[in-house]
Amino acid sequence: MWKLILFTSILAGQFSHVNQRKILFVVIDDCEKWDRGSYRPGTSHFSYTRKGREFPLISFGHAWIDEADQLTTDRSTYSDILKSDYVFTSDLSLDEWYELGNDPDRRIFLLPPEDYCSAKRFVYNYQFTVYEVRVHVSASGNDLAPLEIPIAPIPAVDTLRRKKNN
Amino acid sequence: MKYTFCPPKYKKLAKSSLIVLYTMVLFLSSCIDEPDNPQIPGVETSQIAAVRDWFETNKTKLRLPERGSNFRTESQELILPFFEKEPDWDKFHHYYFPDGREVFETSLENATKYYPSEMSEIFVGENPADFMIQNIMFVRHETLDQFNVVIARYYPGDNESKANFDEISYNAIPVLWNGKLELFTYDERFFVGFQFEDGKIEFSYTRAVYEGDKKHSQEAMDVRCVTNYYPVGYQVCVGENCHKVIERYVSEENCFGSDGGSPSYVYSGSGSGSGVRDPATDGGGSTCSSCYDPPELPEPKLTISLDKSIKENARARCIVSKLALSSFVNEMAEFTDAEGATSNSILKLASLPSDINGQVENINGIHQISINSGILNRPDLLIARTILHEMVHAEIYRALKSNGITPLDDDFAYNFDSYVFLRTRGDSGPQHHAYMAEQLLGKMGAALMEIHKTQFPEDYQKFNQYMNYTKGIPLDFYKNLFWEGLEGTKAFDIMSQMPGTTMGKSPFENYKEDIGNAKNLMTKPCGN
Repeated sequence: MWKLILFTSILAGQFSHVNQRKILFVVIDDCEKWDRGSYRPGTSHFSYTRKGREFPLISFGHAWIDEADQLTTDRSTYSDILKSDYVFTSDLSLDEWYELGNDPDRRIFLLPPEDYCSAKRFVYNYQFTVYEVRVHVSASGNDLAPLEIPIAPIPAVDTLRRKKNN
Repeated sequence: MKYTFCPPKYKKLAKSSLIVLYTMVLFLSSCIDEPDNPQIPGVETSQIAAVRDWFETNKTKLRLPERGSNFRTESQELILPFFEKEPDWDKFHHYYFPDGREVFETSLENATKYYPSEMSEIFVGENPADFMIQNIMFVRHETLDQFNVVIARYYPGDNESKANFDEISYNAIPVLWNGKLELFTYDERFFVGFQFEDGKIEFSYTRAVYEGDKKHSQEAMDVRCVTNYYPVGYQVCVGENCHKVIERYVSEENCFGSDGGSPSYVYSGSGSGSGVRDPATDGGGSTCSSCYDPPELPEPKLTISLDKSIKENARARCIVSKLALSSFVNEMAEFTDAEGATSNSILKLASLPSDINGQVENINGIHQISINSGILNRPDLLIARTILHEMVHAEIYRALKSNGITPLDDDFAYNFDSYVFLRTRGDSGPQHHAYMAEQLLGKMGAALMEIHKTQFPEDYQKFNQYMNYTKGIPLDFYKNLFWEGLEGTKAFDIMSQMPGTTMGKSPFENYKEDIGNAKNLMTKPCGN
């Protein structure tokens, strides 16, 4: 019997790993630095894009064009968010942004700036809506390694000149 | 206690012997020439023998492999007629480049010679082939047991600069030497030229063919050759200043002076000529534009071997197979599952820093195109875009090595050299990206658009419908996808500074929006 229990629990563990990716809450706390964009009218789809010309370009999108890629929403209190894995956008370093943009193993839920930077945060047990999002962080242009050029360099004319025969 | 090494009665004799011996050493050593670079003849002879053996074994492989099409006739670069090289192994220079690579520079004196026709104008009544220097350089590869082979041609600019083989070499240009030094690849593609004045490089130059007067009469030349010459017009660019020059390269096999048609000198080369000819029957004064039948040379191409990491990853494999069907990619490259000798590039997945989507590096002459395995969760089209971007880097490298022949750009040498290279001295990365931004963005955008429509049609339809484009997804959208990674280029700066119109957003705002939408909305069914 104990073997059956052990096997069942291992199996359950395996499946729960598949179905439940880790969740990270991203709180946009530097509220004035983000632009909200909307997609099609009549949908709840939206995006947040970091303002200005600073690189990398960063955007969050809660939108999809294929039902298979549908993103979810959830509800959570601020204190519950703080008990989970969470980050504030103002705290993220460049490397952490890139890591966030390239992490396939985590589902990211966003607490929008309109909610965070409002009095709702101080209402006891207020249930925020958090939105599952995709993140885009633009890549850098450092994609060429130093090159070995198998060609002759410019002659070293200052080193080994010979005297001219006159 | 005092130690003595020889008995007192032999001391005098020993002292005398030492003096005699020392004097002899002084005399003998004073008779030996001290060369600039100390050399050990025996060792060098065996080394040049090794170079000769390598050359004899590999000389048939030094040209691009046959592939059917003829770029030698259609390309817009200077490619001289190829001739089989038979170096004079008894005459050679042995030295090292400043970066440590070993070089053997041997004479190609007894071979077909090429020189610009301008030499005929400088040295009236003389045969430039008699005093120009033509050598072949074997540059030892840093890691592999092989050589890179380059042809060096020295054209003196005045009588004082005429030199013989021993007096000039690539690492030893004589003081006060005036003239030109030009480098060609083994199969006679013009690579780069240097103009020297007083022994110093004044400037370097390239030559890009332009459509001009190609019918310059041979009578205008002071040297009349019954043999081949190669009439072309060039655009010579020095810095940002370009000017057109009518020039031709003369292939010296049997030449005669212009003084009344009687042969004042005869040069017999080992090229395609067949000995001394009769100037009367060979038509020394006739136009000779058809004397040269260019040999077949294949179209160079990226041949990309797919690494195991690609082959075994369903998504990567799927996206690459769709890319291979694109006409743009097909013109530029072919993918192969085979590994090894025939490919010049490898495509693989790699764990790269998270700020890099892909990377190209050159390892032992092979372009290693690495795609960040961390980006495979992105939409299909964005992965295709990244592979395309990195492939273009590899193709630029290949084109630079092949003296500018590439399907990317009919005028690659001119555009890259005069328009991009001069504005972005330094690392390859900024140069490539500047060239992409200035010259290729439209082409790459159109290619990605075609790939999206034909290879990912469902995604195209859904995205188009969702974004409510009335006339289909615009080309600007795809160009915007390629702006990523080109930040820091002048073109990007100009684009990003452009203001928005009263009717719409600025180009930079559109770029931000498009790139975000692609990432957040597009699908990823390929291989899933």
